[in-house]
Amino acid sequence: MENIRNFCIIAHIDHGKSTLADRMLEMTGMIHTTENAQVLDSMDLERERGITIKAKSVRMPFKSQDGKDYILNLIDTPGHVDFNYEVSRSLKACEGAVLLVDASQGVEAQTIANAYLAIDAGLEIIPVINKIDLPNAMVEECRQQLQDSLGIPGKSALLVSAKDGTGVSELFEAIVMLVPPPKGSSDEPLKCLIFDSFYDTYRGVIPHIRIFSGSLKHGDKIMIKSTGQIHDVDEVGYFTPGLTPTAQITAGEVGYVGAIIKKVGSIHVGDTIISPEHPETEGIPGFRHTQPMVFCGIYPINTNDYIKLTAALEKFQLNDSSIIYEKESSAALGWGYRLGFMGMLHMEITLERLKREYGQDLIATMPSVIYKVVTTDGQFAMIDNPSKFPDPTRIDHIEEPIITLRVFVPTEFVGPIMALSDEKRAKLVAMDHPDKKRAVLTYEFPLAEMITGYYDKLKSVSRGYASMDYDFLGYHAGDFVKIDILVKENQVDALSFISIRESSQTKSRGLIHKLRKLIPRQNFEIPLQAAIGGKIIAREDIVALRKDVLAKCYGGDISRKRKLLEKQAEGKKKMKMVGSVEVPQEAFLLLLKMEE
Amino acid sequence: MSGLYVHVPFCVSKCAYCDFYSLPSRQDSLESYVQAVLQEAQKYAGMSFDTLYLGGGTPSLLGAKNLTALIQGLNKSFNLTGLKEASIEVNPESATPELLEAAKNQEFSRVSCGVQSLSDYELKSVGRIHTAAQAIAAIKLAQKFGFKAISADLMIGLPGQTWTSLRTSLEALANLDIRHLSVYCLTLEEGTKLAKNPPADLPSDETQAALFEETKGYLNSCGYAHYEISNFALPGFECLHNLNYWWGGEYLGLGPAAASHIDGKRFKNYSNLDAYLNNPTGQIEYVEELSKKEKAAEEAMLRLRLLEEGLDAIELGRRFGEENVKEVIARLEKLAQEGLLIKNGSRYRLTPARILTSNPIFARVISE
Repeated sequence: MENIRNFCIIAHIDHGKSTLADRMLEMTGMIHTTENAQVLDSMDLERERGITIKAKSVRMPFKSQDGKDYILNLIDTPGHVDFNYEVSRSLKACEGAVLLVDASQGVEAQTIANAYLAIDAGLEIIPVINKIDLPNAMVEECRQQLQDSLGIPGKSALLVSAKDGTGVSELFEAIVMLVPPPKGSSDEPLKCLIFDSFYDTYRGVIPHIRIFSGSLKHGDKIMIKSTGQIHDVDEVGYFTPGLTPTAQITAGEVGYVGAIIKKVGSIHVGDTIISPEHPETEGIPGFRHTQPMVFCGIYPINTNDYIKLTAALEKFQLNDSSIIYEKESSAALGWGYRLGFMGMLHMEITLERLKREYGQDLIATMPSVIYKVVTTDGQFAMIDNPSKFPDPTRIDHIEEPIITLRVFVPTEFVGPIMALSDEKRAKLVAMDHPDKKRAVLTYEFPLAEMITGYYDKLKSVSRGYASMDYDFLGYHAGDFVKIDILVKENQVDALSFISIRESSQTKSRGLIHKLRKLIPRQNFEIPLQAAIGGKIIAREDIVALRKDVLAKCYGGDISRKRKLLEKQAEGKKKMKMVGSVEVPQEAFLLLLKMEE
Repeated sequence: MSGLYVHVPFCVSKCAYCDFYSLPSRQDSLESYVQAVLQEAQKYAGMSFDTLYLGGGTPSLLGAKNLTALIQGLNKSFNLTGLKEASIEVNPESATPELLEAAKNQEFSRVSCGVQSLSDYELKSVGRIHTAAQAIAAIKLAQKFGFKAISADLMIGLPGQTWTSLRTSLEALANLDIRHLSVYCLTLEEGTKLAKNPPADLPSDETQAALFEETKGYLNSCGYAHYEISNFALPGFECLHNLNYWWGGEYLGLGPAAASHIDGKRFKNYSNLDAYLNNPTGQIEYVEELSKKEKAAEEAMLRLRLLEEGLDAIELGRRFGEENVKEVIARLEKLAQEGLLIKNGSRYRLTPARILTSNPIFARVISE
């Protein structure tokens, strides 16, 4: 155990974490030279967006200058704001963390957030300044920022270029020297942390584990602490980075365990695996079931595709158990599902993947947060779908989820960010200056405002320089109203939304106006209305279609006529019927883009 | 029924709204064009036809000599002795006495005159190169030659058009004893001058629809029946050649861009005059062969354009087989229940109020 080092790399998005991981794998002979292919990011989407969604890990042999052989376990962590909990669980599996800072960008929001998580987890932090090969590298500033914003001795930071390999050998030596070897005994009862899992069609759910004490081999029985379920181990092994079976894994090691666990929902990140012989073994602290923060409905365009959608979701959840979904029906859209996500980015990625990987033609309704609705009888309900709100007369008041939002930004953009945040009902609680050039704005921020395009706007008003990080803070009461949208007197439940009363009319007018442009003219007049309770607060009408006729004979060119009509029929199939009105799918995403 | 169509792809100049295949004419190409058509005709030699239609473009640009050569040549390849109707499209500026006389001599029974409007402002605004007076003169001239029927084309929705100006045109035509009127709503076809540069006084769809309703009422009161979406006729003066299209009938099209329907297959020549002149018999751009089900649906769609007779479900079943018409009839039934079609016994026809918005209905006839 003395020669094992378990560590992770933590960084802000795009600071070069995956490139560094690749370089380390290459230098320890785990993979052959990669041409920019980031081995640990295996999903196309991850590579496109430059982020790692699913954590993975890898075991590397390393011969140090001291002449000894070491086993280095690199545990990858998801790198974006929606997955703080997963990050914290990955950190729990390590004794050390490489804190990576992009020399051209400096310390950013998630550098700080992740560094704090690592410090809280008691990890040895190895500061590294990456991308020193870049012409605009500002090594001294980065050292100063590490010192000022995190209290980490900036002078000691290693200088690395993951791209060309500079400084990576030194980093290996530093890991061996500074990261403490794992503690714990293989003779004590089994205790492993599940820090990730994936689904294999033949072998079921394969948990990724860090063994704190005891050992595991084929034929052992294991128990999942939180549920008491018992499984038979049929394989244990390491990541190299593929799965490599081995006879036994012991305390201090990182690996996987295969136990034919068929039910995806039975394994949760953060849970503890123990031995059924010692059911009293305590779980590793900090385990919780993750709570989705953002919800949206998804519906097949063609109602007959509902079964296909169900199958796609079931399959999808196998590889992302943080997605929750349940059946939902909408008067306007028929049968579909309500999906819960860890955050906005998680939602966007999931919807994109569903479309891409499962070939699903979907309508996604606008995202919602969970409101706490307190009724006049003193009861309350947590409601994630505006169409499920009780009648306004029964509502005493409504509370919304608030997050603590930290925005890191060069000082010149403080003005625009403050203006943007004010529009979003944000409450500034602190403004700090980690150095002369940068500010950290801390807000109490309504999550609902976050999910309607705040992040994109933040990036655009700061020309990409702002970064952010958030935590859930709690529920705050506000003067909210539910706005219903009526298309030709039919309420479209999927378009209902919650707004603060003050801006409800402006929002409704904007929505109705956009809707008018999106819904094509039909054979009858279509009134579009927004209403609070029974009161109409905005209205526009789509006038009836008066002319859509093929008159000319085209010298008997009937094929041309028929093709035009076929094209029209095709277009119709992409429409959703709301009562007698054909509504294009874009209409259901309206609110998301309403403010653009 | 079977028809022969000849596409004459020449115009003096392109009208602003037109997306048909036509080119400026050159005297030398007119002659070689006629030779090419006759060469193409030989490919189908031996067929006989009930109707003949010379469309364009501007067939009257052929002139007397070329027209005569064309018809005499066609008579060599085909049996045209049983023609029930022979139509020629003419434009006022080229409807010369010589041309009309030649047409009469070649036994044309019908002259379709591209009037479009009897307001000079409207004519000019879409690039027509004749005046209202020329159009009236051309019609009177054709009448003097004693053709059985004169038809006029008229457009609704021309720039600056109002009910007053349109009614003036209609009254003048009705008073000229026109037997047949083709009334089209102006459509901004992609790529046309008008679509690229729409004038400010272009009537809206609403105005067009209102003008169409007024036109229909006026023509009905004068005894013209609205027998097809864009066609009105005094009883007995319907255009047989065009009826054949709507009945799903067969026809041979000669010339560049001409479409044919032979033995259940639809095919069409390339829209390329030079290529056609070089190789008139090798111009087929595509051949389309539909399944019986699709064919039945297509014919249902076509027949519904005939506003009075519509289509008979029993006859359709007889022609295509019961199993092949089941689905389209179910769709017709649904449309009838929604009030979009009118059902009478086994007959379906388009609800009159939906004439100008018939495309969405036809789209539902041909496909679920």
